[in-house]
Amino acid sequence: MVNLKCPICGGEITVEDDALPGELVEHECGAQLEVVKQNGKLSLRLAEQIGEDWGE
Amino acid sequence: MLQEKELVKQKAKELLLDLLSIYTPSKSEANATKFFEKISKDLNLKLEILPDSNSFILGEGDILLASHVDTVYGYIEPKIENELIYGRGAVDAKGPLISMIIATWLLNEKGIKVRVSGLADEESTSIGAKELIAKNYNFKYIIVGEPSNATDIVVEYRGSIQLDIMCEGTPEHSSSAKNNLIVDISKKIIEVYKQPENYDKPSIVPTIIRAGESYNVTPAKLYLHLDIRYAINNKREDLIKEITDKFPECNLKIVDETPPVKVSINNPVVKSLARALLKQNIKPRLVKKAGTSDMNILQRITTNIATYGPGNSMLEHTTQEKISLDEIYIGVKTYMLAIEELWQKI
Repeated sequence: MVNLKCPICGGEITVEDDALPGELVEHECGAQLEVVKQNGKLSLRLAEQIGEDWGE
Repeated sequence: MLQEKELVKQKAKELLLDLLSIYTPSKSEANATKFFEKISKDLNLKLEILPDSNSFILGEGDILLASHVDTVYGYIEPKIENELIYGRGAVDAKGPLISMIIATWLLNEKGIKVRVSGLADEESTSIGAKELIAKNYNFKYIIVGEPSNATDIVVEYRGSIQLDIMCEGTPEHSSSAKNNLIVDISKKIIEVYKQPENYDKPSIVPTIIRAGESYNVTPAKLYLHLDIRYAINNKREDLIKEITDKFPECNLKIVDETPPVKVSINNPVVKSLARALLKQNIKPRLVKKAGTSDMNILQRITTNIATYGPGNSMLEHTTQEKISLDEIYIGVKTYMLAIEELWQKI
C-alpha cells in the first residue's frame, strides 16, 4: 500500500501498490480523486465530476 | 490476442443474432427458453430458470453478471452490416447480455466461477430482480449489464414512484354543469407538474388520464397516473406530501416504487471495472443516470455493485438500436478483467 495526500484537505489516503494512473478513489473528506503517476511516483489530483447520462 | 478477439466476435455474432430473432418484450421472456437451454449445453454452463418471472441464470458462483432478456415493444428484424448488428434489444440489453454470457463462458473455462442472468421484466417492474431478492439469492459482487457506451461506469441511478390517483365528482348535464372533474384536476396537474430538467431536480410527469363516458355528462370518475423521478438527495416524503396535499379529495395509491441508488467509487466492483478499462487503455468515466435499472433493486443483495456495458445508451428504446462487434469485445474483455480481480478477493 502507498500513503498519499489528498490534494483537497491534505489528509492521508492509501492506495494499492499496483494502482493504475487514471484509477479513481474517494477520500473521507468527500473529494473524488484520480491517481496520477509522474516520474515513477504516484500522486493524486481532483477527478472529473461524475457525468450525467440518460436512460437505464 | 487476435485469435481471442476473433473468437469472441464470431461467438457474439452467432449468439446475438440468434437472441435478437426471438421477440421478448417484458412478460414474454419464456420465448427465450430454448435459446438458454441450447447455450447451457453448448457452453457447459448450468441453467436455472426462476419460475415466477421466467428469468434465466447460467453458471455457478458468488459473482453475478446481471443483465436482462426482455426488451421494449416493437420487433425489429435483426441483421448484420459491416460488423454492426441491428435489432430490437441490440443495445438494451441483449448486446450487454451476450457480452456477459461470453465472459462467463470463458471465465468458467479458466476455472473462475461466475454466474450470468438474463433477468425478466426490467423494462417494466423488474419482477426478475425482485424474484432474486424474494428467494434470498446471495452474491458477493454484482455487475449489472446495461449499455454504458463501453466506457462509462454507472454509480448512481434516480428512483421512481408510480402513483395512481382516483378522483370522484358529481356528474351533471354538460349544458348546465357547474362542476367538472376534468377541469378541476387539470388545474391541479398543471400546479403539481415538474418537468424533467436535470438529474438533481425531481420530476412529476402525468402519463395517463382517463375520465368521462358520455358526450353530454360531466365525468363521475377520473383516473390519473403520475410518474415521479427523484435523486437520492431529494426527499421522497416531501414529494409525496406535495401531491397528497394537492389532491385531498382523491385516493392515492403507489402501484410501484424503485428506490434510488448510489454506490461509493471505492467499492471493489467500481474499482475493478475502472482498472479493467485502464488495462485496455480506455479512460473510464463515472456517470449517474436519470432512469432506473435492476441495480436499484439488486443493491439490496449487495452494495458491491455497479453498472457497465457495451452499446450506445442514446440508442436505447429507439428503432435505431445497433451495436458493433468491437464494442461487444470491449465489453467481454472488461467483464473478464474485472472479475479476474474480484475473484481473487473472494
